[in-house]
Amino acid sequence: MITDQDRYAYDNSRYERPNFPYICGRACMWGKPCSRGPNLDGRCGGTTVCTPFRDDDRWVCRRSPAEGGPCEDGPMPDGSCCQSQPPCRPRRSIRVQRGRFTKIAVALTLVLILAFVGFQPGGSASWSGISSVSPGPLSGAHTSFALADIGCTACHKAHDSGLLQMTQALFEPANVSAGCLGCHSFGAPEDAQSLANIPHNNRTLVAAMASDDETACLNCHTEHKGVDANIAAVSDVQCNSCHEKKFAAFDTDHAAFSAQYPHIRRAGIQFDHSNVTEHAKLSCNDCHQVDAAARNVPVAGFNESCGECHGDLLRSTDATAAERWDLRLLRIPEFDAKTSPVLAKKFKIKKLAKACRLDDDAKGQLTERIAELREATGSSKAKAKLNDQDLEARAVTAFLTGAKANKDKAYAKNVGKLLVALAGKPNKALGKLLSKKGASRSETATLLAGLSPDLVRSVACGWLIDGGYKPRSKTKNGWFATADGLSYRPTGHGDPVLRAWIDFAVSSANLKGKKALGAGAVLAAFRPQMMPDSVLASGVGGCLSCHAVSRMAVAAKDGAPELRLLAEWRQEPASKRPLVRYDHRPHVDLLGATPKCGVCHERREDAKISKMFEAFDIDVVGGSFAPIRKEICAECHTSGQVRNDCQLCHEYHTEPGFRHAMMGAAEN
Amino acid sequence: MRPVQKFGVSVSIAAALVFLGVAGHAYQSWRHAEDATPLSGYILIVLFLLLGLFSSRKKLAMLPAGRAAYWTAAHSVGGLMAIGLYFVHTSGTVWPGGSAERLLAALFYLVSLSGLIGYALQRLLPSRLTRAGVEVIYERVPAELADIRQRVEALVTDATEQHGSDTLARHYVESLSWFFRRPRFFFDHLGGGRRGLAWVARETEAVSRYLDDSEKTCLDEIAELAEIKDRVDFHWSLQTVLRYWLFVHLPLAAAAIVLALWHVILVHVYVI
Repeated sequence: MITDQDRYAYDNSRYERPNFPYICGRACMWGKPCSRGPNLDGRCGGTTVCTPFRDDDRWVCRRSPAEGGPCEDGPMPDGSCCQSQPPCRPRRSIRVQRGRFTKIAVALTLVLILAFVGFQPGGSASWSGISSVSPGPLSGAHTSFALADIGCTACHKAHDSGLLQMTQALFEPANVSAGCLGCHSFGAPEDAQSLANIPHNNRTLVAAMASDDETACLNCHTEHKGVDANIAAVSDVQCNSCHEKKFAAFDTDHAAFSAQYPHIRRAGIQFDHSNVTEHAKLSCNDCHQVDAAARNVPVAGFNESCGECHGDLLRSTDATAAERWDLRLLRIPEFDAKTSPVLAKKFKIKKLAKACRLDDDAKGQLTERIAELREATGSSKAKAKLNDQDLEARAVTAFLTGAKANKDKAYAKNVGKLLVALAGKPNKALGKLLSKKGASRSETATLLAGLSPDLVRSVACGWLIDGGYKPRSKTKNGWFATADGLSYRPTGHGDPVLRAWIDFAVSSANLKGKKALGAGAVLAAFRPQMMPDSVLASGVGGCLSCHAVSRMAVAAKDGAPELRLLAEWRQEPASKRPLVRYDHRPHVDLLGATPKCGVCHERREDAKISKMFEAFDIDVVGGSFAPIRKEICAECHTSGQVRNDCQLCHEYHTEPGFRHAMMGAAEN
Repeated sequence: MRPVQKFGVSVSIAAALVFLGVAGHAYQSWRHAEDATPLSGYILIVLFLLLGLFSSRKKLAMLPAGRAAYWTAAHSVGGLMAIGLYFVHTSGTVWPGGSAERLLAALFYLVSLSGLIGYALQRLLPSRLTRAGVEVIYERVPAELADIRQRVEALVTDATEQHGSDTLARHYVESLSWFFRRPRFFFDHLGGGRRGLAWVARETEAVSRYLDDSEKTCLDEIAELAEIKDRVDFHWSLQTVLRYWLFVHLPLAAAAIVLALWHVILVHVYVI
């Protein structure tokens, strides 16, 4: 029994192997197990007490000493044991059972993986989420894009590509970030391979990067965290890890804002907010659309904001006032004794008569007129000297024909040639001239929009036949002819033709080589001609009294940035800080329905706005408002009050945006 | 300090250093917008496989792979480290979003929980078994019980034959045989109760008044055997728990390793 110390001596008990796969069925039924135990194959090994041994010609009992040694009856004559008993049903040992459980668990897991691997995670069915490939729901912003038609392949190129490709993908970089760049764009130069468009990979920007590894999108933006997950969160600790200036709190650690903050350039529209002008009587709401406030508070259009006071600028019924806005495309000079014979020599009566569609009487008049010109006599010195007004009126014609406005002979010669050309195919002739000066076909179409060829021909033929066109009706807005030329009167603010001509005038200053002949002066000449300075008190006058002409960097044909003069037709935000974000809305909400903008935007009484716009340099800052100081923000954004972490105001990426292809997909 | 304890302390220190290194690397990587999950993931999967080797070591007892006690210590420390590394790897996410990852997380939690429970059982129950006063190998419990039962029945038969009274025999058949037939009071033994002995005492006392002195002597011998049997029952209960908790731990651990390998494959195909 158990209390017997010697009960398991080698000769008192059988040797029990702990790793036997089966245990005796009798023991399982709490009976006495047989001494022989089950066989390795799971059959009962104890139907007999022993297996007799044949010694020479006799069978010898081999019952174990633990069972009492050889029995008295000995083996049967046929060699079988004389003590037999019914077989038991051995059972598997605990170890084997455990092993089987484990194998079943492994098999079940594999079956589950394989059974659900075919379920498309992006499918619309409710059970798509149980796919063994699905890593979880995407964030709300990505759900509709990534799961629409292309599914997981939007980001994971290897998905659903077949067993071979997926096996290859196992050993190749997945480059998920490249998938991100399929939709997301950034303001920095783009290079999908090196992800250089992520500014914090830019070694010139961040010199003290912890490692040379590139920062991939996934390092910060971990997807599949659920629909409501914020995958763009960045901690201040992360910012502080690289930035030399460590920030524990905005109010105490953040550097002071720059001297002109938030302005980094001159505004696109000249508008004096200071108290010295009539504008000071206006409320901010009168022009700024507070309801549409975001980073900037947009200005309503001209009609809504400026129109109330300045709306009649371009709609004057007074002919003299309206004339100031006229664009003089063609100014025919008074031909004198020197120029007329030279010109008239080249006039082919037959050709001109055909071009002007003249009948016989008119043809006779033309013949007489040319004869008069050829025989013209007198002294050109007797002619009055050209004044500034005349020169301004000639500026466009002179620039287009390549003549100098103050050189009568050359000007007359070129205009004479032009008149002949205009009598034939007027718009083609004008288009050719514009093209020589760099205007594209579409620009030319805009520049000459609404200009009737018949009107041009009438002017040319009228001068050729009668010595001057005789207007038949009162001048209206648009293209019109006068006795000495062809002009355009704008229809109102934002007139596309006038705008196109200003753009053409401004861009002419960017011309180089032969095309640039006279371009240096043309802008100066164009300005007063098209935008008389008497309309507004100061500045360059007219459109450009408000709209700035600025020298700005634009992409040239070869892609390299090039400084060009451009007219600014829109109110560009004074501050383009790609890594800074700001939202007016919570501030407007806090300050009430009638916003107290002055809390942050303090008027500057010493502002000299017009001075800022005299030149083309946009880097001139110092507007109507004093710069915003950090202390103003820190009044609320301080520890324990309003949120003041880095990410509240700073972007990680430069000008994050979306690609057009992606926007198109969204619309579809 | 015993060698096994020294080994356990050494392994614990090493594991703590590795964990702190990985956690520190993960934190630094997070600060610098770098991805640390591959490193912690690789370490975790290697750790899973090493922990799984513990089961294989038992099957390969013939190999000189060190004492099982060392393996147990290393397995326990490694298991604890795996729990920490898991949360480093998931950046503290308790419940992931994907179905396979959720299953993996659930399996990992169950394996960890069963492992912790198993560790506690292995620390608590052996000392209680030592205090039982007898030692018996789990596989020999049926034989011991059969032996005790055989002796009790021999005593009852002898008493019946000697005294010509079947009072004791009938009482054995109707009452005591239930106790000797197989292990009893499983959960009571686990809780450290003595209901088995109380039951025997109550049953022997109930019949004692109907027996003469010689039969009472026989009944006393039966009570002594019942006490020994109760200790064997105690062993049976505790050793059963010590063996069967692995029925939860091992299959779940194997399933978790398979899913973890699947996770590695998916991550390599889709992300890395």
